[in-house]
Amino acid sequence: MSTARNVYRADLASVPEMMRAVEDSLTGKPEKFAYSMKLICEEILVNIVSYAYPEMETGELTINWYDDTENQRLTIVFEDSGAPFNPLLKESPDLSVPMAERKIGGLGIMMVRELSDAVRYAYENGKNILTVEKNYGD
Amino acid sequence: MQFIQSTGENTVVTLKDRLDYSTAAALMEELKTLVGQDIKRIDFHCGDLAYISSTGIRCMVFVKQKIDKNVDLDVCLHHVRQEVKDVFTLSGLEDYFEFVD
Repeated sequence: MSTARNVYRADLASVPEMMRAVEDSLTGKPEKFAYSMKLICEEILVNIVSYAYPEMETGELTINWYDDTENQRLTIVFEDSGAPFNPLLKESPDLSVPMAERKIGGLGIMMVRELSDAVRYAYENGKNILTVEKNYGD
Repeated sequence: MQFIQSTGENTVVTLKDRLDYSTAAALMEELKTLVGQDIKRIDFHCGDLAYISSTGIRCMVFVKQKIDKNVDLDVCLHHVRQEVKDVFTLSGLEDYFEFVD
């Protein structure tokens, strides 16, 4: 098991730094897996920095990595101390309606749900905790 | 970065590298200039597009919903990499665009 913990300012300006760290952490992983994890992380990070803290208020966003190399399973835990917010409650867009009526709100979180093997939310000790798990083995 | 290469009945747009939270807003601003114009076809050249996220997908939905509002607009996506196409599929959009290799 290899682990890492990184703390960032939870603002949009910090997302490029977070995404660079995400990409670095995915180096050497299968390409399709790495692409999916990048998508998942971008959706979650942009979501947190957009909604967790009110404007003009800064807070922290922590990313914890648990890479279970034996079972080839990566777990990422995102933590912030912003307002309680469960993004998983966001309704997925209805993909069966015609394009003209298609709504796209919730598309990003739908992607997170679809691409993860497990995703769960908890609010504990004043923190939003979003956990994503995905296997990268065969 | 300039996305729109030429405008007119046949409009050409080039997408490169990544279409994500960091680049989609700039593309959206350019796409907004096409609303209301007499466009019959838009060709998106995507051979160098390595990554698209839901923010990028929003731009493509904008094309179909706002630019294609009153005319029968053909939207062709050229040389789309499989991993990028997979995101269109995941978003339920693959049938609304013509993918050309």
